[in-house]
Amino acid sequence: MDKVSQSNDNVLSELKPFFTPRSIAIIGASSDPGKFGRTIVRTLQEYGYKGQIYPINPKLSELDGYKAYPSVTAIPGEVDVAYICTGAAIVIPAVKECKEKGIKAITIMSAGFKETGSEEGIRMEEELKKLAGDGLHIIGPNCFGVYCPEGGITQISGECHSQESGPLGIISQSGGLCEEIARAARDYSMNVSMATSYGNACDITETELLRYLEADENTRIIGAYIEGTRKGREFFSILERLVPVKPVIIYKGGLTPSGAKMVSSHTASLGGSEQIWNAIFRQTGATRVDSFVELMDTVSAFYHLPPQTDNRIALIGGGGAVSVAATDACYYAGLEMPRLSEGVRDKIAKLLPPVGASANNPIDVAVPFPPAGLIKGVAELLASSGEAGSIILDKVTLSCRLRELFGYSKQVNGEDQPWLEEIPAMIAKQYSIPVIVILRDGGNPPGKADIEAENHRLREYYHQNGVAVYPTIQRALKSLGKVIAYNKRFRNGARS
Amino acid sequence: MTVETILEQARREKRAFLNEIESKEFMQEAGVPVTQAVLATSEEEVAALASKLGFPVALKVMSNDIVHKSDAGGVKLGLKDGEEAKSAYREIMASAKQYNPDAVIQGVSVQQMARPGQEVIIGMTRDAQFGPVLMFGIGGVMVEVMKDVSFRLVPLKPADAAEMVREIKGYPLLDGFRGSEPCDVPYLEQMLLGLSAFIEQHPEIKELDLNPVFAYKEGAMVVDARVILEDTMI
Repeated sequence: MDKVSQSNDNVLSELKPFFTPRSIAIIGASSDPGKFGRTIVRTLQEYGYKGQIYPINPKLSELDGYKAYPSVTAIPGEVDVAYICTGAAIVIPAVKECKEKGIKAITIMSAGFKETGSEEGIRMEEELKKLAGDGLHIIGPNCFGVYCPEGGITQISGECHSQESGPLGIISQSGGLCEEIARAARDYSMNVSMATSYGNACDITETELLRYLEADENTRIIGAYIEGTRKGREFFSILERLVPVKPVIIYKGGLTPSGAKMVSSHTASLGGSEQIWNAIFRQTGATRVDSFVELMDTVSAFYHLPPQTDNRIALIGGGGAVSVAATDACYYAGLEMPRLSEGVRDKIAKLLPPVGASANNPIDVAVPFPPAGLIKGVAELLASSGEAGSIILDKVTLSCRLRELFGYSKQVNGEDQPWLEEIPAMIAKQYSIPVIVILRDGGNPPGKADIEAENHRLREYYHQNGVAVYPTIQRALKSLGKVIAYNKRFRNGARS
Repeated sequence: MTVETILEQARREKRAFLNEIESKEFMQEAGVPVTQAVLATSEEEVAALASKLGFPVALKVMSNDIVHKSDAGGVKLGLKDGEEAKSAYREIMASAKQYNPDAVIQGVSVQQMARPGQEVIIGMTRDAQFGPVLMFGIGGVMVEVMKDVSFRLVPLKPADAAEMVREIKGYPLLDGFRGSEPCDVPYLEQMLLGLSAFIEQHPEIKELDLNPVFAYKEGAMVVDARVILEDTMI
């Protein structure tokens, strides 16, 4: 079934129409607001797609200002890609017409194939498989297709997709999850090179998409949701080759025995056993995550933080419990919370209040609202000490507005400096080490939406300035631990 | 016997598995050390082979119809002289026939008792999606109850072999637990790499079970081996 060329130059050019098409035919385009054929035209229009749109529907003469055609063969110009969103029963004739028209790329969004488990569904999918090839590629069926800012397209509905292209490539067997990842990526201030939901994978599978992302120069990090693969050996080889160059973070769905049953009824793929998949993770160095949240957290750490190999963590925390939690979290994440040398400790101690603080790592600054000068001084001493690979700030309130909202300002007597919030970004930039800020989600009394809004603003500011943000120290260190493990393996050249 | 003649024989008999003697010869071809097993078909032959191999010896029933040799009373270990070996042979034949009256019994395999060592298990199976995978674990309770095993896809790189041995929770048992002598872990790693290469060259192998393998301070020894062939190869 390996119909995509082996060469990377070719994989780029063969799959290009899916990502940067000059013209799109939408088979099943509809004026009925309840239908997907309506949404998809609107979605492209609203996203600002610059190329030609050809709605295909024999009952329409135009749709949303675009001239409609009864069939793709009636379109006068060339068509780079066709989106099919008709009922399953007329998908095959539509694909045949696309072939006749000479279309090389088709995304079949329609469901009703192998995933139903019905004889007819399976038979139709087998036929689709046979129709692919000879230069024709199919994504789907049963998928949401492609979102690619570079091509100015999104099939994945939702108006909040960024227009800006970025280094994150996303592939997902599930359409719903692909949409969620794309939306969450924006929440983490990450831009994507492409996000593709590939559904039943009758032709284009995760393997071809990974090869595309390998060859695509814009992509630096890859996040994937995979339920199963039919091309096990090929999948393994591409990961072996790809992971040392670009980290691949995989959320493998259906690893548990009961989850595996869900997978076979979901996208009609075969779920591999957990032990085999663990072997694949170990052998290739691909990063395993076990939930959607963990996928986003981990991708964010790879995206925003510099490639650290040093696993020593320093914490600047406001209070004793924070220190204990951080030390435990380090242990679970395979990281170290080292004691500092006497020299560094003494220098830090001079900056701290005489009572209630601790100058030994984890550093306890005693209160959640220390003066800006103190935080900056301690962070600089740690970053320049050579004794810490990363710096985490937890329960240290880093914005004047937040201090005000928490009622801390009254206690500080006007000592707050507006540049307070810039400290983490400044340290990250000056010393090129990972800096993470913990900003709690929720936990505020009702009516305190201002706190949430300020947290949100800060989070965005940090993400845009090379600092990662997590709501808990556990999530922060777990994610950082994965980045460091990856870099130790592939950037130190230690493994043969 | 060469690998080819062993396979030829299995094909002729339409057998999708190799018996212990064949399996061990197969493993020798893979460069894996095995306790030599020789077929004996009479009391006299048992005694003669046993004294040639050197006491103590072990006898195991040889029958294509008996898969679980111990269940059939078909295994006798630590036989110290010719008389013990002869009477063990008689007992094995009697209980095997009782266990399965229809079984065709070829005789027994005679083999030298291996010096006891740390029990480990090495296996191989074919995953429907990913092809051949190797398994490693500590034998006995650790594998049966704790499922303390690690897997790797074939082919293995040296680092994969090193990691898969160290990944199991029972690894300290190989590394000199409570003052016991550490096992020859590099030797086990080499065995895994050798098997990986052998499996790559032999698509006819469907499953492999080396259990137990005794790991020593120096080297290791496969005490029992079982090879299952692909149905398509026979």
